[in-house]
Amino acid sequence: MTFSKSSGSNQGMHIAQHILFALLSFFVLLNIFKTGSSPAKVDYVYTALFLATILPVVYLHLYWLLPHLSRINSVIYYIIPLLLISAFFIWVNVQLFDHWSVKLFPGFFFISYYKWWEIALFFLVLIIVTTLLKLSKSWFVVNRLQRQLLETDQQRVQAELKALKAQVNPHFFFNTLNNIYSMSLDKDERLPGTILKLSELMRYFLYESTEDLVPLSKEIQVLNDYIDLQTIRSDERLEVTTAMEKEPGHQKIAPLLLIAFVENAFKHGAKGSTGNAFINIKLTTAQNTINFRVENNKGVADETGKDDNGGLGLDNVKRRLELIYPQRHKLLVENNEKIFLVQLQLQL
Amino acid sequence: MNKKIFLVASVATITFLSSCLTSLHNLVTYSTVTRDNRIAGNWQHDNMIIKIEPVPTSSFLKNISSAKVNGEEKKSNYDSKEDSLLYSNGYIMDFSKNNYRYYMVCCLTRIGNNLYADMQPLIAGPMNKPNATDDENLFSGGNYMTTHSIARLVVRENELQLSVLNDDFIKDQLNKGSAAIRYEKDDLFGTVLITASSTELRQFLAKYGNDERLYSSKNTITLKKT
Repeated sequence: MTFSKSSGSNQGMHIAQHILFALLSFFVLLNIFKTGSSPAKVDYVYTALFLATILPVVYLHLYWLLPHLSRINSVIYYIIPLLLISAFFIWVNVQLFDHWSVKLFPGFFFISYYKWWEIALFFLVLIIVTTLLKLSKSWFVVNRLQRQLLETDQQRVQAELKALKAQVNPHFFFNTLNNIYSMSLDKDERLPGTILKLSELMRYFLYESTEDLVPLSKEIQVLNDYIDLQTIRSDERLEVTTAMEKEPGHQKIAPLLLIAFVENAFKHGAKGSTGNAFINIKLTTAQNTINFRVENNKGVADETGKDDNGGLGLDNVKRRLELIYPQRHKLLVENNEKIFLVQLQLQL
Repeated sequence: MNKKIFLVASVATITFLSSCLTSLHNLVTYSTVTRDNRIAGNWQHDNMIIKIEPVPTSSFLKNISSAKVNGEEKKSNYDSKEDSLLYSNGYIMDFSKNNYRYYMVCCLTRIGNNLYADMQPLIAGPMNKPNATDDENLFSGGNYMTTHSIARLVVRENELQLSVLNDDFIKDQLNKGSAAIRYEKDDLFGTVLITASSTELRQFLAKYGNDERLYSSKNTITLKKT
């Protein structure tokens, strides 16, 4: 019972629905009004005239009063116009059947079989029926829109996550390849092992991390490989301490989430420090909770968290946390003159 | 009901009209009845004299009163306060035809600018037997169902025009499906009995009472006052 500004086929469908409704109403009324066992010509005229006085009320109610109802403060502003409209068309009905039809249809003889309050009852029934139809249809439309909205939102989140993940990969590889390049220049004997680990990481990054969730054990292994890769290239003054959960169980986590914090610590803590540097990494699990802690000391004039290649890093991981673990994570970042500390608690 | 045979005692069958529309229900009720004593008197049509008297002063009522048995009035099962109110404002039409004396009750009502008469046969007894029994009354027994005939009256000086509703026209409209008024049809004799209620009849005449197609010259007679 609603016309929308959608496509032409939808408009056609709506018009067809209205025609169907009018025909159905006509058929029902015809069977109420017929004077014999089967409808005569005059019964069709009678029914058409009767319906002609009901439909304006029904449509005014549906498309003017009912939408108006949601915007008004008092129901009186709905009731009074409805009563006025109904009274007017009841008057039209009475006049039409008692007087006007004599001249309009001189070949037909009929009278109004209904008193004004009986006509009002017909109006009321049709208004109630059409209102219920509209409300039920609106309910379906709202449901469909909600579903579409949810799907669109999910698609948007997925697209955003993909984009964020895609930002992590080149970022990490770019840094690691820089390291390998430096090792190759130094003809470092650890280069084959480093390339092997990089190969493992690439497999993970390119193939396995495409899943929404990966086993926590795999993510820890990748973290360890990554730390190994980074420590190979690090200064001797850098002290890296790791305490990873040995038996993380079968819990799953969004891929490449934790590595961003570690990368951040290596990139800024170790590089920027002029004295002894340290990075402490700790990961513990308890039932469905992960506690991850990364602490590093800061170098001179270091702006930890800001990336050289366009602000990636912490901002990226924060956004991913919001999308994947809304209301299920706590991220504390402590950034003072000497220490940069990240503590993350995740509800898996 | 369509197959039912109506043996109808209508005004047309007993009087001077070729045909008229018959109604099961009366047009005039106690709440709509009116009086117009201009119709009272003796009226002549061709060789027939029709005497019209108000019911309370009619010889017909006197005859009924004198027929009290042991001082008790014979009461019909259909007598009611409403009927008393209605018929006390009605008129008795009394005339003779083919050696039978006919009595009809006629009640008047105004609808719009028109005056209508609702006529119903009462008794038709042999003229040569003043004390005829019920069995000799043409309308007694279960064979006849008295109906109402409706006529528009125009009262002029010394003239009473009586236009009965045109049976042929209304039947034709009903057969064509152009008229919506409750009715029953007897397919065997082709007769139509209007079964609309008093209110519906009144509504119908209020709307179409001035439509001359409802009356015809063959169903119109003019009575002269004598």
